[in-house]
Amino acid sequence: MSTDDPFETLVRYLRDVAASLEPTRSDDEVIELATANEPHPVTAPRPRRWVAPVAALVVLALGSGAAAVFVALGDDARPEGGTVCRTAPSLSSSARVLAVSTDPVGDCAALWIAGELPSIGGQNGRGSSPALIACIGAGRAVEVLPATNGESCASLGLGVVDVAAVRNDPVVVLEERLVNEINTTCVPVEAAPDVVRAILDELALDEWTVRLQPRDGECGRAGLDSATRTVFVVPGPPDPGG
Amino acid sequence: MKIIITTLCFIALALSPATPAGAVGDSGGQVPRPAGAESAAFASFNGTTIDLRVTWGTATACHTDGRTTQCYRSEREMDTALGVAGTPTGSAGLVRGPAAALAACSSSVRLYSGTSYTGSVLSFTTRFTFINLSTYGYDNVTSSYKVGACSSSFYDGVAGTGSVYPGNTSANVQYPSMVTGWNDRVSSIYIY
Repeated sequence: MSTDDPFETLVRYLRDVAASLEPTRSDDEVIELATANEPHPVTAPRPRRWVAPVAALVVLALGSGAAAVFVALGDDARPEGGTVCRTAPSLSSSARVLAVSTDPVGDCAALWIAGELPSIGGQNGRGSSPALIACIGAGRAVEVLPATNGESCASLGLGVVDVAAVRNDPVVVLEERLVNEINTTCVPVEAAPDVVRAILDELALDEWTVRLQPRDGECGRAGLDSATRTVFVVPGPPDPGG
Repeated sequence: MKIIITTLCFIALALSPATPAGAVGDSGGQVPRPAGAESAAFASFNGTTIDLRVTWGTATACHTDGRTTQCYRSEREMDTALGVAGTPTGSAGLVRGPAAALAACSSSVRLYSGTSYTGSVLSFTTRFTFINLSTYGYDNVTSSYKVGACSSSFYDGVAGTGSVYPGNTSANVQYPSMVTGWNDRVSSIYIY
């Protein structure tokens, strides 16, 4: 379907250019390709005015990665401490940078699965992600790269990610503490909510709530629902195994 | 202008049509993976990673330790990988990180999407924590089950809420169908 919509024209053209790109291209090469091979030159004076707004619209249209930025090939200016989701097992590949989280691999896998990382070399498409490895890169960024041929951090010249440097997910800690301090012991039902609240306070999970389920049982067991940020205290019998 | 063109090229990369997912080599598998609360939803399968909340793809059997999940083409393949004790022997791809391993039963609870242990199967060994099945795209799916060495409880609400499954879920029992009214109803489980 042909259209004179400048947005469509731009996207169509850039897709053509992108299809020929390899992840190891330098940014100068990319620019050269984009400017030298333009098949449908847009009429002269106007396009410069809509390029920037259209670029903004396209970025907005990408949606979920609002906090993400695109890294130009070979760009060393990525934010320190971020998670760099690479599109190929090379530090010169294009990437998206996310704020560091507790699960960099999961974050990048989600981008792959959502089709929000560039599809280069036919490695991947929407719906799945290649196996990923997380390494520590320059500026203490966590580099998450596809390990398409058994690459390791060492083979890529990177250090093994210092997992201790990634801050602990308080929800993971919460779950572990609920297991260790409540579920594996028989905390009386009436006391369990206070124990849970104390743990939430210590972890600064202020937005979480505690709900006691109406059920018979002498021991309180705690389970969490991350979606509603609720810890349920569920009465039950002592563990069958004692 | 140079910056704009560069930026647009990468936008175009992101917009370019996705190609079919291809099986790629497993990672070296030696790098610990920091684990978040939702990490178990992302399963390693055939050298790729799938979000079980979205799709199981062609996987039909998945095992989770509560932090990471590994999927397989068949239950037999899963059994081979897990070994007799129900502990993965060769987890490929994503590797569990520093989060303390949750206590595990020596053999797993297995939930099946079909009666008589057919359809897809989801295997758990994690003890003393409520396991929300929605994390694995398995909410309201269970039609039959096998319980391993540790007794368990099933619930129709998240995190052990709602009603307790009234059927037998003691250690070492298996049932090819659910108690009347409980087909496709289990939402969370707890292994003692």
